[in-house]
Amino acid sequence: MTAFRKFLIQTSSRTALGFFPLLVGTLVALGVIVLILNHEHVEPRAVYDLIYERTLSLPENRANVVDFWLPILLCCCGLLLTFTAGLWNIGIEGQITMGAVGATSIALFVKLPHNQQILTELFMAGAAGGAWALFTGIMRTRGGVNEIFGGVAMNFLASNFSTYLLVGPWSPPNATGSATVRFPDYSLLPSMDKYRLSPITIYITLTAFIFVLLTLSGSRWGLQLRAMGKNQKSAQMLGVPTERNIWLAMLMCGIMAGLAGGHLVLFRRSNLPANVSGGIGFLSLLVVLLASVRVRWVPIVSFAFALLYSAGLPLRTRLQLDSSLVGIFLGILVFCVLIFDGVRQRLQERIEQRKLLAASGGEKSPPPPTIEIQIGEEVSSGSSSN
Amino acid sequence: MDPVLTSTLADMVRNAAPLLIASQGELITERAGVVNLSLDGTILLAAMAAFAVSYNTGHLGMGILAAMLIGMLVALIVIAASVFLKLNQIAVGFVLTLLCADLSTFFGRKYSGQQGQEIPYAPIPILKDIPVIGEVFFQHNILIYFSFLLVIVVWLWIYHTRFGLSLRSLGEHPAAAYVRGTRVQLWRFVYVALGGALVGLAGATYSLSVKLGWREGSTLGNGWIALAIVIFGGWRPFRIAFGAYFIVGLRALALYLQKEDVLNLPIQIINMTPWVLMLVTLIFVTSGLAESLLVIVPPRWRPAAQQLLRVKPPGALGSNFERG
Repeated sequence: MTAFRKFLIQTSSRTALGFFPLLVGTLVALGVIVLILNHEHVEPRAVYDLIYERTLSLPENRANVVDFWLPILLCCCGLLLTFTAGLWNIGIEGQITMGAVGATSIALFVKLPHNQQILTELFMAGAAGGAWALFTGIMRTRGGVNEIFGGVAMNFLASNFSTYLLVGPWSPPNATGSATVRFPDYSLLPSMDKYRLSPITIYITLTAFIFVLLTLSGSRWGLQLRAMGKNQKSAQMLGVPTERNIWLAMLMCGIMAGLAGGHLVLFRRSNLPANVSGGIGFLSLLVVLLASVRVRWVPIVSFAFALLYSAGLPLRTRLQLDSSLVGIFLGILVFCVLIFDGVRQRLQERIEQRKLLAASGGEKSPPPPTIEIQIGEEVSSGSSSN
Repeated sequence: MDPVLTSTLADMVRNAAPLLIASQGELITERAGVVNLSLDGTILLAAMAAFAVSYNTGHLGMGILAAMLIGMLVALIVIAASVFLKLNQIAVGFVLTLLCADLSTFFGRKYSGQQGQEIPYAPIPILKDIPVIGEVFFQHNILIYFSFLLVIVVWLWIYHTRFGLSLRSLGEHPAAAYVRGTRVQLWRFVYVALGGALVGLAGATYSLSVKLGWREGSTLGNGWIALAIVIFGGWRPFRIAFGAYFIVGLRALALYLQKEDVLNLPIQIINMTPWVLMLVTLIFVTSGLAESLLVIVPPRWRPAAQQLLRVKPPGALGSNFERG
């Protein structure tokens, strides 16, 4: 055994190896971005300075990052429920869009006292997003349509429906159909005095996060979702109401995504633009993947993502770099973390096998039955093929 | 026949070609037991690469080769992550699809809107003169003809060769295939690489033939459609081909009816119809509703109808295989 391998085995404590994928993934992603920047003849330092200047240097910029962060975190909270249950809710983009459409339908055409107005708009946002997600769940359980394909179809339907509204019935006079008119002030979410942040969205997001944290860490329903995520068939045989739980998890996720969509139109934009979700649903999926479905990591990871994404536009305007560069960085980061997490798991397996071999006095024994928690897949046990 | 309808049908055949190629590629991949969810991003990146390489080198062949290599590389990453690291194929594929889409946007921005080369028009002598059929099927370029041929070749390969039997066993029961002496992992790599290359070719078909040139997100959504068509087609080559033509045809028909003032629906609603119909059909077929309606089919036709409506994914789809 080489000294390096001995070193690896000795330092294979959970903490050290736990951070290994994130560390290596970040380094690789940064390395690739530096190469791309060199190719584009842009100083990495200039990019760093710009990102810092436009996100963290001033209080209003920090508030802007937080405003960007809240809907992402809200979506992540919903996705934590569906991922835990083993569901790939790719349809979250459509749920955000429908939430925005739901909120807009009230903001444009209904006039109520301010508090009731806001409540009704948020209710419609949550209801529209929830209904969109629930339908995907029902298609999965009753129609046998995989939630990935059901979700993708629902994304396209939501996107086309919102575009139809923008160019048709909700199109402002003499407009190109890229957005509705600005909502009246009484329809908009109130802002804090000092910073442009919505206290209502902060309360909603905080409540959603605490709810998900408590649900997944110490509730019976959370335990049922975990059991379903590990092996849905076994969970069902043990009496877990899997169909009801799929519907509930999808519904909760859809409500949270819908509320995020509501925030986008009722606060950030003050109207319904084309492509309102802007990819934050997929971004949230990446966050949850990067955080390995760990609830406590999600706020930190989503904040980092929000910080980088909110710097995308200045990259284009100031350095003539396409904002997709941020997407490339995050994509490589998540990809590398997945890969190196796989490397870490295999390494740990080998170490455990060696320990077992040493304990049995060198006699070869069959590998221990490992349980792998794989999102969206059933548990694979031991060395079986299926 | 109405010349507008004939040209609409010819357009339909041309527009369906990339979907046909990508979905046949994914069929091969999934028949080998692997899900490559990166199709949407791969097609975008391959389309951009095909255009950029042919634009810079002046060789269409180089562009097509670059696209196929990109498709192959992405697919190999998915299978390698699954085989060596036991990672979830869906997670890796999903991340790759987003990454490839961003890469295509970033590296393709200087080619956006540029005029590039086109696969030359190559009508087939004699066949092109057959009334209607000639114009619809035989007045295209070589990639479009390849798309029809591919369906036949894939069908023959899967159902009428020893290799095809082995391919099916990889997806249905890899352990049994291994016991029978098949090198499961090796062949999975081979088929996934082949499927990926076809997905890359689909990208090239877009930028060099169907939607000439490159624009950010120009093929967005088609990879997801191709994936859905594979399910819609029940993992069978001809049904998948029918699915591709059905989806493209529906849209072409709606546009034709709109042009003829028969139907006056907004384009967004027309764009929704393939998805609605796909969902309805999937629910009808996969929920067992279709099978329960078989009682009204005369017993003589029942086995054929059953076979037609059967949608059964490969038994080991998406699972890792380890030698025992």
